[in-house]
Amino acid sequence: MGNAKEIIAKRAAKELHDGDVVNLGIGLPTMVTSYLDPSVTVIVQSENGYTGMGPKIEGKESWDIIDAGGWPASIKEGGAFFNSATSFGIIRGGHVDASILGGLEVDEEGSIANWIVPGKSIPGMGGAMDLVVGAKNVIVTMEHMSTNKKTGEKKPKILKKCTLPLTALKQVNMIITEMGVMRVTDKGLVLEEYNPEYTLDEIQAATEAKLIINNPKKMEI
Amino acid sequence: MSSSKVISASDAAKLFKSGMTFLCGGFVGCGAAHEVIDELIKRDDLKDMTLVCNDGGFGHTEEYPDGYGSGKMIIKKQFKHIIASHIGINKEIKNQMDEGTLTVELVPQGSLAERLRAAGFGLGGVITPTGIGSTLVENGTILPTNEEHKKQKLNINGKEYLLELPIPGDIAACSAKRADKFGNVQFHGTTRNFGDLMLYAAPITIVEVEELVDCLDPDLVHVPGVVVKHIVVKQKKK
Repeated sequence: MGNAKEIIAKRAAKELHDGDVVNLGIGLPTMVTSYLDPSVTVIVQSENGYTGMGPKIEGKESWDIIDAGGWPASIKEGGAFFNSATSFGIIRGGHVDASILGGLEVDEEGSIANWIVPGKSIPGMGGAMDLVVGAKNVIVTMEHMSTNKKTGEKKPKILKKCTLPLTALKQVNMIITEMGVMRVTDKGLVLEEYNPEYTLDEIQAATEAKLIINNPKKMEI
Repeated sequence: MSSSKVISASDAAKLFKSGMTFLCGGFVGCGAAHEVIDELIKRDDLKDMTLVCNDGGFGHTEEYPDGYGSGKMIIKKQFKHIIASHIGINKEIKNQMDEGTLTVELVPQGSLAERLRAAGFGLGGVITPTGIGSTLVENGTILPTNEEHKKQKLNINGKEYLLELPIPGDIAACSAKRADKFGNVQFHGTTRNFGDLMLYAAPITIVEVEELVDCLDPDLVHVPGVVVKHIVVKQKKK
């Protein structure tokens, strides 16, 4: 059984086209660029103010060029620096082709909650709400179910309706988990691809939303 | 020019008064006026300010035992209220909220940038779709008191928007790569973020720079000197 995060990141990489401007949330989404086909080069925009974000260069760490998590990064040839109003103008103004981010909950209408767990932690929304509203293709990459660290209990994250405070209403286009690829349509949540290591019944059982299952393709894992 | 804009970090710190709204440049401290902040935390008399910053910097961490960026001032309990887009990486904020000594207004990062721009550019507010569907953002909920300041919703051509109001400050400080004697500013890298907007949005503005030059090429100026009141030249080598 392949590592869940690798399966998800590999599949998400297939959604990016050569020349796409992309924004990658912290954590799993940043793994996506490692799985790009060599023919595909994307331009990564970082919300804190540049396009052309590149990896940290060992021995040449600059604290003047950081990623959205606050750590040293670099700028690639062809990149540009700008202020936060311009950065979010690029995001909100529809100039980002794909935004890949994590989720706590996504529902069958494409609403997403990914920024707060009331009573537990209040990190803040940062740029998440703008990203989900502005990007042309909003791709949520996450594990199919959440696991309670203390009890080990697993709960569905793909719901009929989000219960946690929303990041945005009806903006998600697709969800990629280790179990499959789902697309939000006006008819509901369609299971387009599935991981053959699970049966279709198992996938529906792990999902609270009603999945539209009509001859889904097998996911490459 | 009759007088220089250049002042020391400690003289810049003297411009701050308790109760002021401080527009603090920086994204996780990148672009914050670090030397001015180091002088501000020496002031035991400074308190009850409002911090406007993308985030609360770092609190006590292994790498930064006294915090980093705005986090240093938060540790010193110099604020009673914070307006920010993200507070998760500085645990001190949650501690003070739990103690009842700090309130927070969370603003989506893009809306924060625009509210500062509106303040600096004389606009009555900005209309943005960001936050529609979020009860906390639509209601302008203050944490942890849950006091609400409901925002006006507008329907324009069938799409819903929120009216977000300007966020002006009493004093603004950020850092940049260089300034000329006239106060024209050039940033480098990702230090630019919010400082580039905050320098218009307060009557007292301070830019802390690595280099002071005679005169910048006017085509390459990021912030015109007409809004920059004070220049602090960094003393510490990077």
